[in-house]
Amino acid sequence: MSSPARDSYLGRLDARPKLLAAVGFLLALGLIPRGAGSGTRLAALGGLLAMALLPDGVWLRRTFWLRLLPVLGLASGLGLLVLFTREGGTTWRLFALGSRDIGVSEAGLAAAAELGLRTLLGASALVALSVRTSGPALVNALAFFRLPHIFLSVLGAVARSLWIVTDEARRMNRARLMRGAGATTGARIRVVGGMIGSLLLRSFDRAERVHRAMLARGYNGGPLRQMPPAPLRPVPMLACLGFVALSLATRWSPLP
Amino acid sequence: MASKKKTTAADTHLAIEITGLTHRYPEGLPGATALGDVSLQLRQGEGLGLVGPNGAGKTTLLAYAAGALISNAVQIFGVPVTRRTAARVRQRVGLVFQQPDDQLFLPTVADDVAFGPLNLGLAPDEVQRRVDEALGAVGLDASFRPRQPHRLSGGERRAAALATVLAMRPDVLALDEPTNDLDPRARRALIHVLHRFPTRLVASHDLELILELCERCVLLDAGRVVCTGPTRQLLADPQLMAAHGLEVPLSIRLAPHAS
Repeated sequence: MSSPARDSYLGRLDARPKLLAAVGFLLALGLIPRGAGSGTRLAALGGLLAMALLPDGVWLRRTFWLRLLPVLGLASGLGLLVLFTREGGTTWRLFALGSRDIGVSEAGLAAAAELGLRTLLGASALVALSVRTSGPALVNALAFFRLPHIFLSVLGAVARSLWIVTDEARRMNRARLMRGAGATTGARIRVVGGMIGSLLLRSFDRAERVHRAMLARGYNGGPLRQMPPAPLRPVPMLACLGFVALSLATRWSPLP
Repeated sequence: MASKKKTTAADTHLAIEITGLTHRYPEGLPGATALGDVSLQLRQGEGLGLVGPNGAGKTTLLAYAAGALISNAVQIFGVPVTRRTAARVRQRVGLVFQQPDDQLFLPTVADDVAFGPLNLGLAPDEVQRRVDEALGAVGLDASFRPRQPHRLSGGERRAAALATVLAMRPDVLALDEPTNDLDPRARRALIHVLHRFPTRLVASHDLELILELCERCVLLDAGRVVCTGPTRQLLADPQLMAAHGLEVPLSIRLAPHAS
């Protein structure tokens, strides 16, 4: 759950059009066919995203890069796999592994670059959305688009519980460090194992207390009831729909 | 925040009546009895304090008194708490938990305060009115509505937790260690709010708070009622207090007649 910067224009924007814009952008990204011609279309999409995000300054935030890095790390791994396994076009031999030559093909390079670019664009759009939108606003926006209520309840509870468990773990870890982290690696592993068990038990207890608090306020099971959402304002909605339309247009545009 | 609930034939002058309540922890180990043959009465318009050392059973007793735990040894406004009646009687007792984090489980403060009124099936306008009223009563302005509960300070969290209960407009407030984590100003503000609710059951180690809010007091130890009596008289007995891990409150010790 993030705290969106209220002074940025994306931070002030209603979460619903933002969510629509991000999903529309991902759809446009997915619709661009692989292979020849995809490069210019992906570059056009990248330009569009840059224009939308650059004035906001989300790329200057450390949180943005911290969230983006794991996705890019995963994409790099997959990219390497594609790079060394895809065959086609000219092949440059790099080294020999036993009796087998390992090299990079022209097709492998193109496929890895395309995969990297697609991942960077898709992850950037989603991370920008998550950095500039609070967790609750995002959950409410998903509810507005009729996602199943029980799924959203679970999503909200999981996000909140994760924060609480992380906070609890941080405090337990601080207490561990203050009293010595453990003399040997084995001792440290035993202590951390005990901490994880303790964390689990605490979480069970807490879940029971929260359930009791819900019952005390009239909860009888089933989906949580919610207040009706605020009316949608037309200008942000139209701007975001325009962004989605332009993103989709790159698929059928006469780009080389 | 006067209650507008309909009174029924079951209403009596007793808000809560507990007769011979026993609670054992599921483990069934020796010494696992949290409450043993506990009886007490809370009259309408009365403040009743629950005091006792750690592990005396105060929190468990409060959970029963509010209908959060089910036992037909407990009657709330004359209605025994059973699985069938629990949902109905819980609306009449607002339980404020010891840890605000247990009470605040929704994404925003406004969502959390609205949770109870929505479960009552109220119209959105009325829910909004109650949310505004409850937040106002605990001194949280409109800027707190979209805030995430876990990002509030300890005092703000406690105020928000109280607001979630006030929005239900309960007839009785049951409070578990309500002044934990509060600085003196927040503590005073809380006491000011609680004075508006004449029928209250307060479990606390803050004996000055008990003196201020409760005319009568129950001393619990090891899950049993040791004695019941007027608060000032009970808390002024140094032998009794010391025997049960408590101290005579400073305000009583410093009072001119104390010597």
